[in-house]
Amino acid sequence: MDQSEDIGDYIWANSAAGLRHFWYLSPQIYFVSKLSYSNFVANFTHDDPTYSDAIDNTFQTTILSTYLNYDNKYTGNLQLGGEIKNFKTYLYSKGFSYKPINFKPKDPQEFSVFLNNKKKFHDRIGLKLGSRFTYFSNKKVNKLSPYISIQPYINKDFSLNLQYSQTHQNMITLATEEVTLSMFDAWCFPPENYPVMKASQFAISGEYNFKPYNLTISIYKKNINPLVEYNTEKYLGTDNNFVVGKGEAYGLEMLLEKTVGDLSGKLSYTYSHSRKSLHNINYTPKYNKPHHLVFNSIYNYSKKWKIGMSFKYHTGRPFTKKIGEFENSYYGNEFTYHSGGYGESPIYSKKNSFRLPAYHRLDFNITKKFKWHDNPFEWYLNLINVYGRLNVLGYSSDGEKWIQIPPMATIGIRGKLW
Amino acid sequence: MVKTQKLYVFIAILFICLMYTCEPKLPTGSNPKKQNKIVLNSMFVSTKTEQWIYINKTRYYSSEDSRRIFNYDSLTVKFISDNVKKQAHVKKDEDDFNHSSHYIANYTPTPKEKYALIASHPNYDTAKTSVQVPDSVEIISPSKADTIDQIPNELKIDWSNTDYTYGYYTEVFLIGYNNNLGRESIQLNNNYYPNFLPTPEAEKKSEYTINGEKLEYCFKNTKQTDEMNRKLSKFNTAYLILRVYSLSKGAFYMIGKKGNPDEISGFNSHRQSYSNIKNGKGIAGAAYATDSPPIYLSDSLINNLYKE
Repeated sequence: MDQSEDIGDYIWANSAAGLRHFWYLSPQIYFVSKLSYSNFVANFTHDDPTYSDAIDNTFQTTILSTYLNYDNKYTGNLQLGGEIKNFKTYLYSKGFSYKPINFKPKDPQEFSVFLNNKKKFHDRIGLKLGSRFTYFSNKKVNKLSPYISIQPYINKDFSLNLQYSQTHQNMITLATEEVTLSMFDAWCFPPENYPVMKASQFAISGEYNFKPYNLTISIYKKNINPLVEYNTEKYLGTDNNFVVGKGEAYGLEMLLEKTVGDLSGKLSYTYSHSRKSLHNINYTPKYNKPHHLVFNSIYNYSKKWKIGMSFKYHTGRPFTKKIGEFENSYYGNEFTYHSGGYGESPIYSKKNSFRLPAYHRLDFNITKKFKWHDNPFEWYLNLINVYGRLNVLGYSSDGEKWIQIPPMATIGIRGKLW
Repeated sequence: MVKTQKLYVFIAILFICLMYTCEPKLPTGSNPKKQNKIVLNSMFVSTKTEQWIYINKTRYYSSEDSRRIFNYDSLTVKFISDNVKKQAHVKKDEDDFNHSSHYIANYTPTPKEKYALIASHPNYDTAKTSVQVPDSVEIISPSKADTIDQIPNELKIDWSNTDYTYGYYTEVFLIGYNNNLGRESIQLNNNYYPNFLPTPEAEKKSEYTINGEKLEYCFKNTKQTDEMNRKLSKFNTAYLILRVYSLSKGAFYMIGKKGNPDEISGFNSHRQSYSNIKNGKGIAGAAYATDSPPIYLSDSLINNLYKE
């Protein structure tokens, strides 16, 4: 085997276990206790230590939570409880930023108490109220995360929902704007000198039933401030491992469903807009694809034949393009002699100011039922990317493009043998 | 039966569609015509009397001019400093065979001095930069010359923070002298030799520590690779000097940029190169060197290190 083609060892492991205990006193009063454990390990190393990319990430979580459930016609449903989370994390990365990051924080813990209340008033208004009070041990700070949801039922076919919530989060994942398909999410906790992230979200939604259809429309606005991210631009040894900025998102979501009859399906459309501000640069993050449309449908052509189709369209993702280059003069040793070497420095466009072409794809599947020895079986034919759209996954710096799924067909048989 | 036939026709049409491919258009986005800019790189260092200024131009893909070679005949490079007090034309090095030319200024920077570089060309915007030379540092420890009989667990140098300085860079020199062999010097923290101390990075902190074990290993294991060390036992005098460079911001970025294999990684954020050139690209930096008092190696230490 040619060693030069060896891309290294890649390890990904995830294990989890959980226990749940009910202490039942009456249908109205009972205690629920949960204990869960999960361990995530991701490791990619190369035999050659000079290889550009390497990652070693461990993320271990133990959660113990318990709450009292109490139902009463005056108070509605009440839940009062507490939660302890204990984390063990380790992160070494090389290649996700210009400088390696070796990061092992003290084992962080989170202690929370929470109170939730759910009540309906005369079948006309639903109300959900809740609050979580959390102590983040590695930051030594307390945070209150409230939420409220009011659901007026205008008539039996039409209801509204107004929501406001605030959440706090202390852990983050590694991501760069340049990676389209991440092999895994590496988790870590920013150290004590970085703030706990806060997200505030406001949403209004309406649900309307006009048989056989059901329509849901919602608009939302979300602010994240402060937003803490891994510093993918860590360029000098003295640069910080993490950066603090802010983010915002707003949009409109629509879902039209038909679940009865020979022809059923779902049509969903989302318009979304999101921005991030990091390193004093305000930009559109890679996941911002303003128009997102999905149409799924199933047609029962006969008792034996069924045709399904799926169409998906979304705006291409933003990316930063190399728009030029220049020769920079570098030196073997800046101070004792002139070596006169030269290197190429890229010139990039403004961050994520370009977009990939729009993504769209049509898939069909056709199935025919039959019986074999009285067992239900079916033939199936899947036709993927029917009209052969060569959707672009990404562009290299020199303009080469990588294409996603080409047109293809699969045929098969499936059923129950016993 | 007719219904089933229709279905087969429908499936056949879908298969025909599979033969067709739909090519996407090129990426969309603002790709304005960019005018190329002058690229200027230079590092003025107090230990040199001749400073080099590298000049070339950018190559924007959208610019027709990018395909043409830079016309150096129409380029004027000027240098202005507090000390020179007037503009001095900088001459192009006629021996330069590289496609990126360098210009030479006969000049040695002094502490706190401010100088400017101006590169003008009729086809491009005039590129300008000004740099404040950092002040010299005051070495706090070692405060005076010393002699060591054995290599300590660690060798540490401290200095005071100085004005106009963004960071520091430290070189460790072993210097030997013999009446017949003359004076020789070698930088010990240099990755060029595999057994030497690691090349330092530009740092913000005003201290530098050498691990004694690594230093001893460096002394003992470089006999084969370095002429200087082979002769070490023959020198009348041998000593260590720690040289601290106080760096301007440009110099700090220029050194910090060096030796980043991660730059080729596809994961890296597409980061714009640091530049302090107005209307141009590149980096201009200055560094001022201060030497520590010598740390002499005693005769017995030299014999211990090289008696084998």
